[in-house]
Amino acid sequence: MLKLDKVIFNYPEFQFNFDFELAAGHCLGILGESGSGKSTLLNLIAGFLPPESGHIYFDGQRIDQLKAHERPLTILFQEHNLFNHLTVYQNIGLGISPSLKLTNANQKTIYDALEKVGLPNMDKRLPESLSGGQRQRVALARCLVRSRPILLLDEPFSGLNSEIKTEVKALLMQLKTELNLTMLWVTHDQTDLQGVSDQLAFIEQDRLNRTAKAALIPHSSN
Amino acid sequence: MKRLGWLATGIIIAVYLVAIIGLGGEMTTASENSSLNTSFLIKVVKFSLLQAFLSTLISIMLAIPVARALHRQQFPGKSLLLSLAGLSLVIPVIVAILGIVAVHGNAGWLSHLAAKFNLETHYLYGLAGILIAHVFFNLPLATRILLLSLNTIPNSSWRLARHLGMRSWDLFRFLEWPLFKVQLPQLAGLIFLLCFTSFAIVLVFGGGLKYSTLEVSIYQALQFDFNLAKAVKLALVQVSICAFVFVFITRKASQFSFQQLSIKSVVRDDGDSPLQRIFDVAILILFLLWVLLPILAILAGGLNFSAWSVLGTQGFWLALKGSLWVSLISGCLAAVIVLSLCYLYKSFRTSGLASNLLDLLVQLILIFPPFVLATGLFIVLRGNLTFSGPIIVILINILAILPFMMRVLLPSVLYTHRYDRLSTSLGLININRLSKVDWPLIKKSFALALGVGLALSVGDFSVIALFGSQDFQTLPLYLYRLMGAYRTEQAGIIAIIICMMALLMFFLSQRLVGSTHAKA
Amino acid sequence: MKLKILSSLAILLSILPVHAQDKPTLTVYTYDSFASEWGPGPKLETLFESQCDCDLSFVTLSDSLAMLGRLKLEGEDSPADVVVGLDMNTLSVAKQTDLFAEHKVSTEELTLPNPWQDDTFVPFDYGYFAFVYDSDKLASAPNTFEELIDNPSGSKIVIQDPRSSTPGLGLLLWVKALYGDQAEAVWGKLAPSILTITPGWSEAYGLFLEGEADMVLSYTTSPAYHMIVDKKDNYKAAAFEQGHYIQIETAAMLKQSKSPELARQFLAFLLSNEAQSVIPTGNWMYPVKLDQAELPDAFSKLTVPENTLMISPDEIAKNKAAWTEEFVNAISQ
Repeated sequence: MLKLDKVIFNYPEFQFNFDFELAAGHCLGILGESGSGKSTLLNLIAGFLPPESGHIYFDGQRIDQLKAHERPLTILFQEHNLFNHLTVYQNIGLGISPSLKLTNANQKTIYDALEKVGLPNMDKRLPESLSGGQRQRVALARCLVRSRPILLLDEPFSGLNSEIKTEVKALLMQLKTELNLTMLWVTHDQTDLQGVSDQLAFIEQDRLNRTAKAALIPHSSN
Repeated sequence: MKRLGWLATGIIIAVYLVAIIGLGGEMTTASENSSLNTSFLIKVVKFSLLQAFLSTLISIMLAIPVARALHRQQFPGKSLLLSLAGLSLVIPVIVAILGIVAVHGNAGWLSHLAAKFNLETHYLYGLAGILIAHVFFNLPLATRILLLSLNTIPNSSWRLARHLGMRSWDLFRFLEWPLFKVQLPQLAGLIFLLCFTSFAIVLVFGGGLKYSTLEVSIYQALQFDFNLAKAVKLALVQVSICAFVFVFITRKASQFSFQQLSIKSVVRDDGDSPLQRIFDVAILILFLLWVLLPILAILAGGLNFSAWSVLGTQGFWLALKGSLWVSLISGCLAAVIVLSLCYLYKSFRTSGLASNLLDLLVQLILIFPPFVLATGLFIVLRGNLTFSGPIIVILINILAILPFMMRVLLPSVLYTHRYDRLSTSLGLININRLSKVDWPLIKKSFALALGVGLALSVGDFSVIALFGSQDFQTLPLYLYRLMGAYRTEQAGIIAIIICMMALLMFFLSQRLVGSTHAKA
Repeated sequence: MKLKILSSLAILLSILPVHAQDKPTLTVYTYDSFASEWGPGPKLETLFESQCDCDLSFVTLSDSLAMLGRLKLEGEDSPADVVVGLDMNTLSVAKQTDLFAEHKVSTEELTLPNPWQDDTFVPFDYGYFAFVYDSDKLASAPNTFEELIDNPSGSKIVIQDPRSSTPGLGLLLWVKALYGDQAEAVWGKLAPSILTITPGWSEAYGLFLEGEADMVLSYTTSPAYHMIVDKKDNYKAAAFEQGHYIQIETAAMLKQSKSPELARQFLAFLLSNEAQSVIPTGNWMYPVKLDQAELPDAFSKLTVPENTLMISPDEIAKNKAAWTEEFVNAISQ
């Protein structure tokens, strides 16, 4: 279970309060206009921003003191998911070892992951030669090899057409059940979340008090 | 890297502080009248502001079409052309002056040409001369930096523009200008400072003392009257004015949004139409003539074969050795320093003030007269000149090349920002981050910056004149010595050697560093 | 293996220069071109070392004023024993520093235009400031400042800034010596004939050789260089009837010198026949103690001023700032 316990983050003009729980293996969709604070929430969980106060727990363990790459999570970003100067294989390999020291077993893991996301034999390609959907799938393959229980998705579908969206979404759902992933999915487009999210929330802004919090939408599961 | 950046910042600040403390200590013992002649000062400052403003404006206005033409047209020898043009910043000022005079002077090539058409062409001495010389120095610099930023427009944008049928003017408005707008304030600031403090150029081409700069007054106070207090006061006036103008120019330039340097060939087609091609070729030929003729005039001196005998002298080899050491040590050290400073700058991206202050610190050497700095350092270090002399020379040389190197390297370091979150989430930190992610992205710019640093140090003459000895001299000092001993022709040969050495350093550093492959 | 390293270390050490500890070192501060390989420095070094059993080492600075500045900064810690090349115009300032010792060298039989009386500074060469021109291009040169100002041919001159150059200061004093309070008016009238004012001698002379100006402020001895080295005799110095301002270069020893005997020996050596004969083609100046017969032939063809002009160092020290300002104001109008 992922738990945000009174996590507070201050911008000069605005304060965010996050306090909610997400059951393991569930997917929480977070809606909101751009600039509403969706990314702030992800950045706090991922460790790119330090919270003012409050704690973040996963399975009862505090994770907000851990460094970004030590946290039990992996992220699918909106863009710049891949290093353009490195091959597909290297990009995925970096998910296992930041110094790219890969054992034979690691190599097999990488090829398996590529197979799983439907891109076998693409290991030597450079990201530039791939389509947008293929690139997102390579990034997903890297998320897989990291084998972390939480997957954060930051607008992963922006810039993809609906056909590819459906395709990647199916893949995500398959992986979610297979690996029992806990997912936090941020998007501005509610249709992205159809059929994937167990719960929905939106960032509720109180302009008067200059605060915002994530509010769960009741009965929204499927 | 960031920590190293703080260290470098600390050292730079310390160098200035030490120099100022040294001067201050000596000042208390001096009792000379250090009052400033205010009306004269105001006149000098007014003129300096005017000529620096005009020089900057003209350099940039001309650099934009030249950079665009260079970007549009592909032709063999383009990079060599740019490097040759860059020599204007490397050759010692006295050589550049004589080169300009040989072309634009009253008895120059253009004058001879004009005489064939019965035209009188006496334009070199006066404000025009100052502007001609300053544009000669700064146009290649501005062109190169603008070209670098044009290269950061991604191919996809060019493709899109092509798809939308954008014409040259639209491309300029929607693709190029937004980019220039970000880059120009910093570039203008750099050129402004270079021109504001220019010394020999303003005197020689000013034609009489109508035009003067503060730098002349500072030199006078320090060397002629030996009035330290006055020199420091004037230096502070200069620093305040320049810092103010610099901050004013660059105040809006804190938001960088650099794209990747595109490695593949450019997909722009607005240079393909015959009319545009003719226009571009004309612009490039004018640029070539403008920058290369004075350099050619210098090289033409090499046709005097008897003068090459200067290479057989012991003094030449000593100077060559000195230049090689000064250039290698300061170039390489400065490269490491500038890299760390760029990362520090990058970490400031949320704070416009902090990044502007860092920028100003790096540029401070352009407005803090080097000989005042050197004198301050000398007072503190004193002791054995055999050791402190080369140290001060190298130290000030490093400071002097940093602003140029920073302009070259900074955009690509800032570009790595896009991988910050991804790298952090993957645990790519410190050396892994640098070697796997950043190095492949910045190595080209790094090599270019290193090349610029090495080449500039070959021609540096800022303070060696104060610390030369029989055992320690450099090629520029040797050149000045030859000039001072009536041996103008041999000095011309040394100028050629300086050019060749600078080019060699420039290309070698890019061959050796720019093309190494990071093991990934 | 170890042996190999050790032996190569030994070889390495043996290559390193061994410091001549027995020999005392004489440190001489001088200006740049004096010690350059074409200047008189290296020859003087060899000559002196052959008779003193010492090491002579030159430390070079950009000019006379820079040397004085450095000495002032260093004060009693200065490693300098002797200074060579202090311009006569700076002597008063130099004396005030109280850093120099009496030379105790006889300066009686000098060939200077005026007798020399100073017990601190030893003159070793001299020359006259003059406007040098190319006689192939300029048919008739002016013979007075008035002719220079009248300038019917519209010829142009290049001069140096008195604030940053010794000849520049020389011209300032030259006009001052001739015209006194009228100097400012003379500058004003001269201004239109001035092509430009350079920071140093090299820029000005370079411009002149490029053909930019008809005349350049230099020395009466400059044509000797062109005659002897370039084998050209078209360069001449314009002889001014009113007289030429003189530049005398001097040497002095420092009080704090650790080897005063050696320093004094060097000062005396500077006036020896062998040292003096190095001066003409080394520094392109007149020696102060050499038979006319021993001068190179070219020197006999040079313009010799009928009158020698000079202003006392004390007066210069007192008025230099005001005169410079007067010059700058008059010229920059």
